[in-house]
Amino acid sequence: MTLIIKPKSEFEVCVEAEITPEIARNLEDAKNFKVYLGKEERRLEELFDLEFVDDREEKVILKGDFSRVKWIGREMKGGEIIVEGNVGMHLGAFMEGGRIVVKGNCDDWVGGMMKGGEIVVEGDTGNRVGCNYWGESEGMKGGRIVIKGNAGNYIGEKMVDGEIVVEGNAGDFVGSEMKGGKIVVRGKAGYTGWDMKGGVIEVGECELSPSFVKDAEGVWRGDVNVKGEGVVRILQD
Amino acid sequence: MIRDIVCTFCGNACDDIEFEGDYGRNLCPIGEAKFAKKERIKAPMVDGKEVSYEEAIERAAEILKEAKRPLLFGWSSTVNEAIRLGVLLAEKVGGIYDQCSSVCHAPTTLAMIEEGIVGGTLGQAKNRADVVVFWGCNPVEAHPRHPTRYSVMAKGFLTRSRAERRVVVVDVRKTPTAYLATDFYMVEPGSDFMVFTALRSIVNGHEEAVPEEVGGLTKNELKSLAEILLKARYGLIFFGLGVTHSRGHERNVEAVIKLVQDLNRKTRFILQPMRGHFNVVGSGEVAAWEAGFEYAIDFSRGYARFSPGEFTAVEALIRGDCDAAMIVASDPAAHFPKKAVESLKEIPVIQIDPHPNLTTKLADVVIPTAIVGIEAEGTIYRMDGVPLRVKKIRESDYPSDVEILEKILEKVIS
Amino acid sequence: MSVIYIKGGIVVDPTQGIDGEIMDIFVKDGKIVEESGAGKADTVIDAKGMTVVAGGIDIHAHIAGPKINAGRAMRPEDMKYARNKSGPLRCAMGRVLMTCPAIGYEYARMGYTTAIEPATPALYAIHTHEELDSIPMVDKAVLPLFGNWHLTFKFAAEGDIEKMKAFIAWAIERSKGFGVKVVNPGGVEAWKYGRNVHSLDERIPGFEATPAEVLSTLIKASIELNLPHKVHVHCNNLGVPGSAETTAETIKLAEKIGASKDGRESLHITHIQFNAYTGEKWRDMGSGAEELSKLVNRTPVTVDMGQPIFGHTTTMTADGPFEFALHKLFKSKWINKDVEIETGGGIVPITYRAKSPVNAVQWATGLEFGLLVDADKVVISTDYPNGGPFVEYPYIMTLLMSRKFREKEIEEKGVNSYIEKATSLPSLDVERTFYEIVKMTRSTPAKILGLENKGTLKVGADADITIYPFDCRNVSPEDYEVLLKGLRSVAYTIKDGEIVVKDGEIAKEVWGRTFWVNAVKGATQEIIEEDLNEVFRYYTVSRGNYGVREEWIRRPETIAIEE
Repeated sequence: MTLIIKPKSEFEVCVEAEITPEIARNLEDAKNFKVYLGKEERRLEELFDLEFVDDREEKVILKGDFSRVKWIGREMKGGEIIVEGNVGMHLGAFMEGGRIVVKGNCDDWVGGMMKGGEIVVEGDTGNRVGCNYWGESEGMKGGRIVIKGNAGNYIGEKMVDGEIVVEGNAGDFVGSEMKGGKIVVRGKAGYTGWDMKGGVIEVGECELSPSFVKDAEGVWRGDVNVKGEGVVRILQD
Repeated sequence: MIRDIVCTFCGNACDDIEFEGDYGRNLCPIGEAKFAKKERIKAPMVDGKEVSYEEAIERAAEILKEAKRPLLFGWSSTVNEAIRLGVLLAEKVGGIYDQCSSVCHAPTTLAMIEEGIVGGTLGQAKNRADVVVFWGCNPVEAHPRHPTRYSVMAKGFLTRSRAERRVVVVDVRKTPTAYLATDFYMVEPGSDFMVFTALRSIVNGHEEAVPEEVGGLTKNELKSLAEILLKARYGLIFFGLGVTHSRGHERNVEAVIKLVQDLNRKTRFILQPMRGHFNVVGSGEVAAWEAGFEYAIDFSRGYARFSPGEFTAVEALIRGDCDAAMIVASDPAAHFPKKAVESLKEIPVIQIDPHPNLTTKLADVVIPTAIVGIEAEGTIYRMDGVPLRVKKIRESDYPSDVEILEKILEKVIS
Repeated sequence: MSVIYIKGGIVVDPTQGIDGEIMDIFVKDGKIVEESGAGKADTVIDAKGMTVVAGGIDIHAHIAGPKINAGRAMRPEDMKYARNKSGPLRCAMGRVLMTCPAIGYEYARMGYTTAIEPATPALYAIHTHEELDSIPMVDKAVLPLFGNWHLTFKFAAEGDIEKMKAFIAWAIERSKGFGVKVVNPGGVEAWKYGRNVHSLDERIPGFEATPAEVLSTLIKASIELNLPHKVHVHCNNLGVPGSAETTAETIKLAEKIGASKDGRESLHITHIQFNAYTGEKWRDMGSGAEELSKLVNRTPVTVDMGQPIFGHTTTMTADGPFEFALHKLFKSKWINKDVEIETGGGIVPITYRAKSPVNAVQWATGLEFGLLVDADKVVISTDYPNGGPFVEYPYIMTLLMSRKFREKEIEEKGVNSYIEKATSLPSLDVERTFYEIVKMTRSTPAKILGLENKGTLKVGADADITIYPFDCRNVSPEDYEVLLKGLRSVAYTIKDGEIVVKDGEIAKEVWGRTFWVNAVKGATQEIIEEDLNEVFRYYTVSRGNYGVREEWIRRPETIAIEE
């Protein structure tokens, strides 16, 4: 089934709603799904209008302003979420499978510590795309994130596997302490590749950490300070 | 005469102040200003009208209880006893606990989460360090007695005088501290990350990875600086907001931590942030032992969650994540970005402070208190975490913030 | 305060030689009393079929102070686990590292009622006491660090026992501490020069003294001062192959000096497991537990295990050079703190893996000590958080009580078979009795600490009581699962005569006492005045601001040593 969700009104504080496509399976469960308005625990239907379309999908469509709704698609395992506008922090955090498409922009922490599945953002994102949460030693472990606009700082830090593609520009600290996987920034990036242990970064132009050495093929390898085997290809080099 | 008084202005927390009546000996100019008599909030106020303490406390408790996610912010200029009550209060009302670090040395905490920190007490500067680096900090103006008490001219156990210390200043301009230095390196603004990393490459024997010029320093200058660091018997880098508040932020700090980690493989080196307020360290430490984290803590789900950039005061206010605020011993209206102050104006605000400031103007409830370290005692932590007791040296009719917070907490629980 | 009758329980109290007798216990005003003195009961606990013992005592757990707190701040990934949501009780956070409320609640839920923080720089004692004051449920005390203090080196080099006595008494009074802690004597000072000391007879850089002289003078001074708890030492060369030899030499120092005046042991070797490796390299590292256990059993020395638990944890110790070695080994994050001219410390996260030969040997070595040292001389500990969480004590107790459980754990966890070559554990058929386990968690630590009213149910003792929901006479090593479950789920914990845990859940939040030892009358303080004034020239705090006043502590209790 497809579940269409619209905010009833503007929220007093941000809402936390760990909505996944699974809740589209059953109308009653969806209505009673717990969401949080600050310290108040609410049922989904108290804060949102719900509309069901009886089809063969397992899909959630978010209409209206979700820019202050956090944790959409947390730990999602399958199905699809379409966000028609902007969306709040922690979209698709710890995601394992399925697909999220955002037509607008995202706040920070898109696909934090993601393990699988795909996130496509047609607009821009904030900081820490596919990044590790505080103190954790590993970031993104699998899956794919595509950002058609620009991304903020700290993209794919401590990434182990998977792929992040930024069609526009990215901020500082692309792929810091990366161990594996691939990051592509088609436009410009800020500081790139710091303490990279493994993996590949392809970037239009960037400010490379002064700890890489160019090999005979014109590819930068490092980070020398951690005896890293990372590869940075600067396309406009 | 009262001796061994702790100055409650900057993170130096000088503890050798002596008071004879209103005259304080050993104070620096900013310390003198702190102890000078200043304008006070006369009486508790609700919506601009003077009320009794009971009424103001009642209203404050109501606001906190009714809010969906109140912000409890400030704390770095009061004592641990008050801070502890603040953390408990945030927990009980399901709000956010955040403190002044989030707008000053939070990048240091974030870097510490990634890498730890190689540190020591200020006694290491005094007794041991033969190379002292001030990077992006200017103690001569911000921590005036730091050079004499601890770091430049101090008479230590192994390092006995200024002549036995090599003092290095790295900054974007020639600060007054730079005039005390043996060596001064001028770097381009916002280039600290690149310079730290280039130094690290040189220290680790990978000169070939360093371009001819980084952050305004030539490769030769970088090599000479690396040489100074490597030749230290025991080196110490003090760093300030120049590092935490320029491009790179917490990664600048992380980069210097990694540099110091690597230097310890060749010699001994430590690192010390130049913390601003006299108890900004306590406002993080107390929260850590009570709730597990130093700042940016949300209790809305009944347990503590840590999320800098989300539950930090400025970002929470800008996102519209708080519907009430309690400000203790701080002036966010003067220091926060405009958008955050705008958001503060739209929600009920409680202020607990001895002195009127810009925040008083937008507060709905104002509760005046005694001045910590002058009219009320308690525990504070110096910039290196060393705990000290601040004293009560004058009587006052004002209640302490501890007393006020106890009463609010009581009302909130009941 | 109320009156509680605990009726018909099976009582085990090694202090009184009681092993599984059905008895009634009477509690009044926080103390254990005679039936005749109890008066009318406010609460009657029907303890039929249940086992009644004194509250547990943790002799060595880093639960408060600048080290654990820096660890918390560095490890949000460890602190994010919620153990209890805010309600009538506090929210309690942390997986291995825990917040103060969590520490108090978890001790109580395990039937423990006293815990000793074993290492604070005296300079940071105000902080450590603030944290102890935030830990509910248990009584506590703290040991200040002496082993790398410049004044200690000076008096040790001069062999001046009188001055050392005065200094110990002064420092314990200033820090409101309980005894003398020594960590890697001389090594932490050497680390400030980027070095370590490697033997007891090596000269400490910048001083005339050796680690052996530091230890000997501190032990002698502690004996002469009649401190309730004697020197508590973390030996030199901790955590490296060959450390067993250093430990043996340290024990022999105490043997040479002899026992305390009251006949009790004069030295406590803490987390001995970490200091008990043979071999020269990690490749040929083995356990020295068999030899060391024999040595401990015949000398005036006690020990605690320092048992590692497989999984994640955070190491933290005043042993700065050791933490640097761990940082280099694991390339993990690292906190170091050099503290004025008195001590230092470090923090590094690690993981104990059953499949690692080194970690497997560590695991087996800890258990060997738990099985081979006399139950009157060994205490269960993990050196929290260095070996792992203290909440695993029931697991350690079960391992010690059941060979079958040990075999199952070796099998299921895939403990590296190198332990067969490098340790005696796989062949040990020793199974501790419940009576011995009660010793190792109650009466033995109480005796080592000199806390006469702890660890026992005798009349006059503090009413700190654990009631386990099983009959200890019927537990069999074969049924280790029943045993483990029973030890993990306490029926009642009583603290100072109040029921604080019922059926494994916190029933009431209470605040314990902080014990500190006042021994200033035991030594002439004037003889160290000049030395103190001289040394404070090199501190960055004034002498007048150094230390803790009793009125700053929530519930202080002084143990005064008379002349």
